[in-house]
Amino acid sequence: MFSWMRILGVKIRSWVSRRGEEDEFARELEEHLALLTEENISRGMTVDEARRMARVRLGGTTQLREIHREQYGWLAAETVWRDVRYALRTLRKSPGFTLVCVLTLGLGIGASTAIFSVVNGVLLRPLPYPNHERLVRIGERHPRNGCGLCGNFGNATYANFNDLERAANTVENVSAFREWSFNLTGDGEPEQVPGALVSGNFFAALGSKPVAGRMITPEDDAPGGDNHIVVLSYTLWQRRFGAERGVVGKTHG
Amino acid sequence: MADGKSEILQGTLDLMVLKTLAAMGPLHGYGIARRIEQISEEALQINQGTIYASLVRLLQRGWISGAWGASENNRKAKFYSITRTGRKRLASEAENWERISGVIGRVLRISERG
Repeated sequence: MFSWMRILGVKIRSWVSRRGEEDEFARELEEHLALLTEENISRGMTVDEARRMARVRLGGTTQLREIHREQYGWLAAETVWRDVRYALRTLRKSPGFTLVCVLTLGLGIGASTAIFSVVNGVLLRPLPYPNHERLVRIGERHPRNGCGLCGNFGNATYANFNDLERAANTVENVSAFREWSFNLTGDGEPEQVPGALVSGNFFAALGSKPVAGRMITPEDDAPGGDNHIVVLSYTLWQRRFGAERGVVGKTHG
Repeated sequence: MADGKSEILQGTLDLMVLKTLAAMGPLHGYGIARRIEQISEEALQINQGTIYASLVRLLQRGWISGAWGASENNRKAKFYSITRTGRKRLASEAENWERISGVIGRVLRISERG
């Protein structure tokens, strides 16, 4: 128990005996020495002798300050320990109350943590794109199908997207995407991977740069362009293709 | 306390400091030490620094309070005075002391063969 208290003492000492407290005590000791010296002089000692004897009567100031500092830590630690024991004793006396408290706190903390994790992920943590604060999502709401107020983004028609792209002048870049899943065949087992169909300037709008090869560009999107371009996610590239750069330019099923 | 000093001795000094402050009003550390030496007719030559350990203990228990003021020769000094809790404690501690010293006195007077 004592070693535990000593550790606590050291910790508490650091904030209890702040510098000001110690300086104050040093001044107090100085004043004490001055008074002792005066007393000694009035008894007929020389000034030097009076000073020396004053130090002897008071004791070493360095040591006194050390004890003073130590004591501040100790007493605070003792008080805290006493409070902790008292709290534990009281809690043990009324297990029902303790249980209710523990459950309330536990559930409260749990719920807060869960909510915070969601808020942190969805609202607080910025999206991993340059200029993420300038990214907005635009969607159409269809009053007839789906709920109009729950914030779902309906699929806009291509014509509407074209209108928006042409007419919107408050945004730098309008691009479209639609979540889609793809079948990946070829080497190894076929698998279905989640992805999205995107318009030509999608990656330019996000500001993403490829590790290898190139991103989809507006030229791919233009009439007559090659619209069978795939950008692999980094994880899929690592997992399925062994991070091979040779995968660029290959045709996949 | 874990610093190895006898708790009785510490308690004795605390009691003397408390009583001195109750009797004399606000005093600084030097004044308290001087007063205790005088009362004991210089028989008790304490290392005056030990007064401060006692003062810290009493301060932290709230039995005394300290404030800076001007000393006799107009320098700044910290003056300690006894609080209301301190006075109550002094009464009960003094009673306790009388009882214990009475018991010890009786024990010491027991003759060798009982």
